Amino acid sequence: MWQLRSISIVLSFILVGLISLPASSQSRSLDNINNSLTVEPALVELEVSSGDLLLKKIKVKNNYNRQIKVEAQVKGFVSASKFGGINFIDSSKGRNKNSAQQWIDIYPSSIDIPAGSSVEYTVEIKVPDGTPAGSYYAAIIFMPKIEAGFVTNSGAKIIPAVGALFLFNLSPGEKIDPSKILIVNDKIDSNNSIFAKTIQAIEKMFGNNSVAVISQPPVKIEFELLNQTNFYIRPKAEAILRNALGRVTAQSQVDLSTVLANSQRFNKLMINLPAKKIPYFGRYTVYLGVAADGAKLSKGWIVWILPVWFLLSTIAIFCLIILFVVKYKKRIARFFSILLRGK
Amino acid sequence: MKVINTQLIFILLVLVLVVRALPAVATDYSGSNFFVRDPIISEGGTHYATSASYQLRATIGGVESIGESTSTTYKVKSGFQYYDDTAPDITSAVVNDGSGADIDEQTSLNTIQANWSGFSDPESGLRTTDPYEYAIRRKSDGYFWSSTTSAWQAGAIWYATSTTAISVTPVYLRTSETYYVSVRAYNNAGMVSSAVDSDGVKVTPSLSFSLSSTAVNFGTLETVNNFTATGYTTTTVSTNAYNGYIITAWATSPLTNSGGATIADWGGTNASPTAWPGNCPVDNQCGFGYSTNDNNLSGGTADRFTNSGPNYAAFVTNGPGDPVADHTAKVDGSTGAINNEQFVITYKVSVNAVQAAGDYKTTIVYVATPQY
Repeated sequence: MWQLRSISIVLSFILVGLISLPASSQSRSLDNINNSLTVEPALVELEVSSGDLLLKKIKVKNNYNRQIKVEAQVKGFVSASKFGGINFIDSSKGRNKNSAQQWIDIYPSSIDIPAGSSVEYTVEIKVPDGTPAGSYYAAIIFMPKIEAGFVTNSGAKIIPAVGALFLFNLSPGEKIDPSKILIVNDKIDSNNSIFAKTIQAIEKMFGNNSVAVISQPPVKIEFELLNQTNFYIRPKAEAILRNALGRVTAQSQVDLSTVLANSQRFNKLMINLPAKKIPYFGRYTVYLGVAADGAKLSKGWIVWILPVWFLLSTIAIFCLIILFVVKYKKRIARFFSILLRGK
Repeated sequence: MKVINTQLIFILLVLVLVVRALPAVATDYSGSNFFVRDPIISEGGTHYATSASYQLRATIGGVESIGESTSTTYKVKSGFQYYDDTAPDITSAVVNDGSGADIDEQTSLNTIQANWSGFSDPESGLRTTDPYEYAIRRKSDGYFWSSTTSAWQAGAIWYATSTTAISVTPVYLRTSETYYVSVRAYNNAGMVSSAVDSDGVKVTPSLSFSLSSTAVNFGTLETVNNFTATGYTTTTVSTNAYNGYIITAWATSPLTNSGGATIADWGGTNASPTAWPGNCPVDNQCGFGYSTNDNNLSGGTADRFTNSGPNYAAFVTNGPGDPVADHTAKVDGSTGAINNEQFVITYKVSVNAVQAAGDYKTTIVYVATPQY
C-alpha cells in the first residue's frame, strides 16, 4: 500500500513538472541564439583557361552553440535583376550557357562542424577542354541541417543558408568589344517645379536637352550599364562637376558594381560638393565617364543649382526694379529721352 | 644705302659668330688676399674626369665640388671628390605584404602593411635620413593612395620613411581588388633605385549570416485569435563585400497539414506586396505571407514593403527565392564593413473556420549571398 502511495506521489510530481514547463521549452525554440555560419571568401573571381584544373579553399565557421551538419550544394546562377542578386539555373533543363556548376566539385559535401569551429572545404575547379570564351558562374550554398521537431503546432522550420559566389572569365585571347557596353536609362535628379521647367525650356531653346535644376547639392545621377558582351565587367566611373567658368568644383570616383555577361546593372552616383561659406548656386556642367575593359563611355548634363534664398532674392530684386520703374517712370522716361536725343 | 645695309648685316653676323665662339669663362674665386683664376680644368659638360666607378663633377646637387683656394695667409686645397653615380642595388630587394612573411589576403578594409629588405648600395651606402620611399597602389588602374587627400589618384605619390616596415591607416580598400606596395631606396649621392613591388594583397570577402530562430510557431489558430497568427525572424548579417549582400527567401512548399490540405498563399508578391490589416474570418483577408522592414530593398520599388505598410507577399517555392533584405551601398575602408545589420521579417497566417484541422507546416529557406 505504501508502495502504491509512493508511486502516486512521484507520478504527481512528474505531472506537475511537465505542466509547469514553459511554452518555449515545449516548442524547443532557439530564439536569440546566434545561430550563424560564416563563409570566407564569399566571392571569388578567377581568370581561367580551357582545360584548367584549380583548387580553392573555402572556410566555413559554425557559430551555433552546438555541432551542426552542413551540406554544400553547387548551383549555376544568372543575374536576378538589374539590381544584382542571383537566380539559380537548372543545368538539367539546358539553361546552362553561363553555368559553371558542372565544373565544380566540393569536398566534403557534408560534414559535422563542432560548435565554434571552422572547416576548410576544398573546391576543385575543372574547366572542360574546348569551353568557349565567356563568363561562367556558380554558387556554393552552405546549408545547415536543422533537425525536425522544432515546430510543434502550425509553423515553419527556418533554415539560414550562406552562399559563396564564383565568377569566372574564360578568355583565351578574346578581347571585349567596347561597342557592346552602353550607358542606358540615365537620368539626373531634378526638381519638378514650374521654375525648374521654365529653365529647362529655355535651355532646350539653345539645344540643351539634358538639364536638371536642384536647390542644393549633392548632384544625384542614376544610370544603367548594359553589357552585351560574353564577359562580366568591373567598370569604374568618374563624375566631374564644373562651374560656369569651367573650373572643377567637385569630383567623384567610384568602382561600379560588376555587370554580368549579357545583363544590365543599375548604378547610382552622388557628387558631393565641399562645404564653403557661400552656398553653391548657378549653372554647372556634369560629366560622367565610365571605363570598363577598354570601353570608355561618357554622358553630360547641365545642372542649375538654385537655392531657395537665391530664388527669393531674385524675385525680391525683380519686384524692387518694377516698383522703382512704376514710381519713377516719368523721370526714367526723361532720362532715356535725354540719353537718346542728347538733350 | 643698300651697300650700307649689306655691310651692317655682315658685321652683325660676324659679331654673332664671334660671340657664340667665345670659350666658357669660369667664375674666379677670391679672398681678401688671393685670387683663383678660371678654376675650370677642362671645358664642356659638367663631368671633368670619369672612370668606371667615379666622376669628377663641377657641382653636385647645386653645390660647388671643385677644389678651391682659401687662405688666411695662404693655403691651397686640391684633389678629387669621389661620388657614387650608380643607383642602389635592388638585386636582392624583396617587398612583403603584411607585417612579417608575405601575405596574399587580409581582412582589414583600412590598413596596409608591408616590410622589405635587400636594398643596398656598396659605393656610397643608403642615405641615413629616410633612405626609403614607398607608395601604396592598386592594381586595376595603377592609382596611388594619397594620405593627404584620403583618396586614390593617378599621379605618383611617394612617402619617405626611415624604417623597413610600414603600417598605414586609414587606406580605403575594398574586396576583390589587389593592392601592392612599391619601395625604392636612395643612396648618399642622391641616386634613387628602381621601385620594387610587392606581389599584392587582397581583402578577402567574408559573409556571416544568422537568424534569430530556427522555427516560427503559429500555435493553434482558433476563434480566440480570429484564426490569425503572426511570427517574426530577425536576420543579422556582417560582411565586408564591396557591393554588400542580399538575402532571399523561399518556402519549400505551402503550409501543408499531414492530410495534404494547404493554406493558400497571400495574394501580394515580392514585386508588388499588398497591405493586410485584417483577418480571414472577419475581413476575408486570408492566406500565408511575409513582410520585411527593409525600406530600401532591391528588386522593385525600394520601400514597397514599408510604404503604407506593412505590406505582405507570398513566398515563392523555388530557390533562392525573392529578396527580403539587402545592403547595396558600397562597402570599403571609408564606410567600414557591415557589422551585424538587422532586418525583421514578419510572417502572417490567417484562415477561416472551415479550414481543415491539423498542424500546417513548411520550411522556409533564407539564402544570404554577397552582391557581386
